[in-house]
Amino acid sequence: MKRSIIFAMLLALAAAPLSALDGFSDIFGVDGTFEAQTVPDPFDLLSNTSFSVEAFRDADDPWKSDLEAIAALDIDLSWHGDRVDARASLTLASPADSTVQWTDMLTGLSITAYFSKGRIEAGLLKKEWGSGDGVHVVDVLNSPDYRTGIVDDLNAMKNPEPMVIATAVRGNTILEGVYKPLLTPMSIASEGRWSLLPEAFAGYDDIVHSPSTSTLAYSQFGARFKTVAGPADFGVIYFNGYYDRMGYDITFTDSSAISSIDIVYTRAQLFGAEATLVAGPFTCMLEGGYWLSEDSAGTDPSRYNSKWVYLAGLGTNIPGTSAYVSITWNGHYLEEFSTGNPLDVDCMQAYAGKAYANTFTSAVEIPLARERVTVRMAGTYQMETKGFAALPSVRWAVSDAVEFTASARVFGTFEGGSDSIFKTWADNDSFKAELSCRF
Amino acid sequence: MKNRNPVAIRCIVLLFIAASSIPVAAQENGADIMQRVMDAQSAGSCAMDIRLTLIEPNGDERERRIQTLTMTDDGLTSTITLFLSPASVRNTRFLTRQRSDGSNDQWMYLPALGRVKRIAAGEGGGSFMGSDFTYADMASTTYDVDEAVHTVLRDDLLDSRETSVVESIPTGDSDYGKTVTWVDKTTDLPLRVEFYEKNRTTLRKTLAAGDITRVGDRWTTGVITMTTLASGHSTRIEILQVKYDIPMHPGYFTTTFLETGRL
Repeated sequence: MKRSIIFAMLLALAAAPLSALDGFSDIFGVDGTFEAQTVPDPFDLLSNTSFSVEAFRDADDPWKSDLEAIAALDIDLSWHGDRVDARASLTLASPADSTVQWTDMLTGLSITAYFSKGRIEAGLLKKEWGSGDGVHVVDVLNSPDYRTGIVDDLNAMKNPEPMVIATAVRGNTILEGVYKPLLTPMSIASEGRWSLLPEAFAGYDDIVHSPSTSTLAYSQFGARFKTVAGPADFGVIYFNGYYDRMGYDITFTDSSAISSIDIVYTRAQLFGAEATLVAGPFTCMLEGGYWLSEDSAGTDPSRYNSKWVYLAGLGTNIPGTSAYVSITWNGHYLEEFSTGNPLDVDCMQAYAGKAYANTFTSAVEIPLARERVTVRMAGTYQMETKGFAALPSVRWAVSDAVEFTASARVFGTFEGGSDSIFKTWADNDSFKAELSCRF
Repeated sequence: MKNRNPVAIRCIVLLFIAASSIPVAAQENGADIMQRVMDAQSAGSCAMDIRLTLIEPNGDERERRIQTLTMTDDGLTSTITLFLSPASVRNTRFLTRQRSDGSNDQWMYLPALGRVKRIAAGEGGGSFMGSDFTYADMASTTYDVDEAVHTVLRDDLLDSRETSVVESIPTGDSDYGKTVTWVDKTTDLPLRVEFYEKNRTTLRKTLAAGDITRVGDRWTTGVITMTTLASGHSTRIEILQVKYDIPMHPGYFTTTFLETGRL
């Protein structure tokens, strides 16, 4: 049914005349000739087709590799009216297997109504809160998707979610209110190379019970106030919702065997803030907040405790060049943390058995050959587990429409490190070549 | 030789004295000329529709389309820049607000992220969209009166136009050691600018302006071409449309418009 709707909409929009919507058409007219029609065409179409081959290193035989080839078509359709915008984003990829969800195809569907002092946007959306460069601790509107590991694109790692956002505007100040009717949990793979299913639960598939979070019982809401003050942008956030990762309520038999595992989600409130401050050539980014869990006492092993989250980042252009470098430190501190119960969800998720975790993320992007070639190196290092991920890439703009990208993903743990997703994925090092074309 | 006519000599002396006491039009100095250049290019508001073409030494061309709005109000100059093409940067927007003390704020909107981000202004030395213009060049290709020591070198005839040739040596931190500007005496527009390396002897880039037309009561350059000598690469900026001193909605220069593209 959902696929039928997608294709019907695609056909309906495709039937209308399509042309680019020019910029300040109220001042310049359309296509720079204001003697021509003054009403720009309302439709806008951006498409991208790509073909990629990713080779995964075989841990046992360095001369072997597993190849995954994917052909994809991304379509972004938008319609701009006087007071209303509509937008649909679709991704059609092959091969598709049984793990593909409809939100993998329909990655965005929204309608926005504009008023004199604000707007209301509703639909299947990906939004971003927080001031960080590719890393956030207060970005609560979309759950992450780890089914294909970590990629160097924060937006690609988000699950689109249904939500309504009402924004009141006054100059450079906004007040946003958001309502999410459902809970979309963090997506993880339960099998295959990217599986993150806890080892303790291997073989217990038959007794794992997951609730349906696509009900209004899992509604969430929040607000953000953001403004500009001199050299700084700052905002305050309140969110009342759920931790997006699952907890486990485990029931034992009299003989201490596990009889059932119920997936539960922890209700929590976030009191947070974000700020961006420019100091000379540096952009300073700050985020912080406190998650007040329903299990504030830390006594329920199936639910996550309250925690503090923090982030500080610095970005700058390398002098005399167009190259950009940024480094971010982020982390959390769990309250009421204890290692006494190994099946406590906080204990299971803790880094190296500690109540705190600190991660450094850095990226350098260097445009070369008059921005025809972009060399990028992104990486993350988790201090407590000594785990790391390196994501280098080189992008060559063959023309304005055609790009070739060579990239790699390297996961691992330095000597003496402990368990983490980086250690779990250490055999998933890969090299990828991709050719894409915009039209 | 003693046979001099004392009357003739006295006349010559008197003529010399008279001539030297006739007020002669004071020769303009470099600062005066560059002040007129600044005045010719300043406006309360300005809207530009620009085509920027990157030209490889082998003749291959890449085209970019940009529109900018600028407004100065109460010492604050705000500029919003919208990228229309190519597709990779389409709908990317920049907002800059520069105060009279030189400090500025910048924000960027990336359509792929759907998010506005405040950024540091940077030193301006990086290439603008891979072109031969730096970000600083895009703001201005000549130094303001108080940014450099300006010296008139000579008068010159360039493309049948009478020009004053002014050397400008920056007093502060700059990407160039000096520039030499040919200023049209009629329009006060720069017709040619030479950009020198820090050693002030090696020529790095040249700028040529053409297609001078009148827009309202202003002279405007229609085409500007910057060439980098070492690579032979050049960039041509064509002003497709320009409007000065038009009323502009202040809402264009807000982070809200930056994000939504709507007033």
